[in-house]
Amino acid sequence: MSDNKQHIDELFRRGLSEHRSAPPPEVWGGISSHLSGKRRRRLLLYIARIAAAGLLLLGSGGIMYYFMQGNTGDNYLSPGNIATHSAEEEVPELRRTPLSVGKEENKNLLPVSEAASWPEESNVMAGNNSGSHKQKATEDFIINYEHGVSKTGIQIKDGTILPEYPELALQETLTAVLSVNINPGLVDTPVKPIITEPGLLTADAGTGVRDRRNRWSAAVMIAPNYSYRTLSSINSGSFTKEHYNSFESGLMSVSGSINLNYRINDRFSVQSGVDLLRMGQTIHRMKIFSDLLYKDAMTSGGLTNITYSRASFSNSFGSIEPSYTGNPTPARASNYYYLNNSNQEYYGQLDGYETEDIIQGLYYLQTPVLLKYHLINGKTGITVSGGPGINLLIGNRVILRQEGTNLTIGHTRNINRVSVSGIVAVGIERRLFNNIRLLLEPRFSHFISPVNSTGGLLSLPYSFSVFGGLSYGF
Amino acid sequence: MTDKLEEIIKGCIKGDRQSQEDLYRILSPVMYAVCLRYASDADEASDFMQEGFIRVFTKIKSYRNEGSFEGWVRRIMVNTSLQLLRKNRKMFLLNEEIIESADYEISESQCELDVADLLKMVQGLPDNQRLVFNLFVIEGYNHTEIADMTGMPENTSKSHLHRARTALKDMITGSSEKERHRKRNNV
Repeated sequence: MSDNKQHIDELFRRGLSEHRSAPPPEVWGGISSHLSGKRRRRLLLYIARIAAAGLLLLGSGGIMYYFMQGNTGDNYLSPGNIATHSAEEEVPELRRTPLSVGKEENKNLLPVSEAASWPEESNVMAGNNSGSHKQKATEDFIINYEHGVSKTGIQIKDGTILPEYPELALQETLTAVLSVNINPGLVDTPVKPIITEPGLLTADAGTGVRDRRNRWSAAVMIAPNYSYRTLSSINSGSFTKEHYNSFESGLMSVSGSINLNYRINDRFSVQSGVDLLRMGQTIHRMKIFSDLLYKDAMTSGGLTNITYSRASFSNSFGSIEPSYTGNPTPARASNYYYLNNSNQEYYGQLDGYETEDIIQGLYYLQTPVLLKYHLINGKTGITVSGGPGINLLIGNRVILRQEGTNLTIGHTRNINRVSVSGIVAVGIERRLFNNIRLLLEPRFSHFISPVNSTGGLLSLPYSFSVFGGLSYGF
Repeated sequence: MTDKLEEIIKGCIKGDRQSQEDLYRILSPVMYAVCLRYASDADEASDFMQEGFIRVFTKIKSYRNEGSFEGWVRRIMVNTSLQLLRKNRKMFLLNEEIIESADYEISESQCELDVADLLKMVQGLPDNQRLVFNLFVIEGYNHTEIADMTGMPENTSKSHLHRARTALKDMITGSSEKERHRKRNNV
């Protein structure tokens, strides 16, 4: 009878093992477009890396420039007032906390020497390096992981689940939950096993890496900052844009930022906080002369009228209001700027004309509200963001820089108290360990509303900053 | 391995799109048939296939010329199918007792089925049964290996295989186990 029968396995093996079938044409289309996208992403990443390196160099140069200028008279943003981070990255200490599966707690932490003597039937993976720990969880679960190597595993004693998963997954695991990768080397996406009830293992890939990202994060950042302004005419004033552009230039400073980031979903997050930044400009071609020289000038008729000693000092931001009634007083004559100074204490040593700079600084607390789009997620992430910023003027001072000494000589008149900026930024994030990420965020901010309310020119400051710092997710 | 295939693989390692397409054209009929057996329908098979080939092209640098290249690609397809099945279906039953059964044989008159019929029957199996049946019967893995691959206990693998065979036999003989059970209860 059995001669006329066939095993069902044989029927299907014979019928299906040599089976061929042409796939639908759209399958190759999907593969091809994915591979093209990957190539584009790789190119973008490459460009981003080069850009980041360039920005870092620029930023470092900016900081060096800032400190070499000896800008110590700036009480708002002096380097001493801004917390700085060491360039040395801390090596994260390996986490020794036992892992847990579902509700089961690991109870016995055995040193390697003891673990090595575990009975054979426990099926514990051998761990023979110094960073290895073996955990005996319960009677049902044995968890083994090795620090400092590229794999770890979970073994359910009775159920025999023996996954291994790569280094990245190990790091993910140590952050919050246990992720299991079933097939070594071939599976990229870890799944999250949950013991829902005795005997039932639920592997829910939908709650994998993505859900482990914290919704909230707080960041502290610092940035070298270059600011300047664009000018637009509202009427034909006494001086043109070209006139001011010929002796005004940008200003380097340091900015700080504290912000909160809320992750809306996988792709979008909202960021807001408080940034402290200095906008402004440097005015060159200052001529300073000593009391004696001033007298000489007056005597020789170089300066025709004593009224120059109290004249206002005009620039593209607005006139400078001296902060004192006595000397020195900035004065303007023709295209040159003179400081009428009879204070021998400061300027008595000067024998002749010296070229000096005036730094015109406006200090803002800026509250940006940025919508952030996460281009690339993962251990290294890339974001682009943009949005408005509300700027509250908290400081206004004009500093005369002379021979490395900064002297506050007044403030700029008619500066708006509140203004609005448009901000765009590119962010690069790198997870260091657990919930801490290293941030690098080049940011461009341009005033939408003018900084000054009077005069023939409207000044719209802008700044370019390269923020770097750390964020903590919670 | 033929020189032509070797050239194509080298091109794929360099990321050459034409080589990738050539490789796809050569292997896709075989691999699509593999995916069809693991999937519940053609759409799902296309998904497995697409994801599998993306992995092939991504990981082709790690191919070490050890063993058949087609076998290497096939393993990736199987593993990809397995992973996507787990990802989409999510559940495995642990500690299921093996149900012994003796008779998995059918008469030769019932064996005259074409490939499309056989495929349809396999695709009609529940995910876990289809998975184990394919791995055991077609790919030739034993239950220990299946347990390692899938994370399910060996007994569960055996149980799924038993159920798959029974279900397939029922499909072939035209009566389901449920139907027989119902009849038994009615008697």
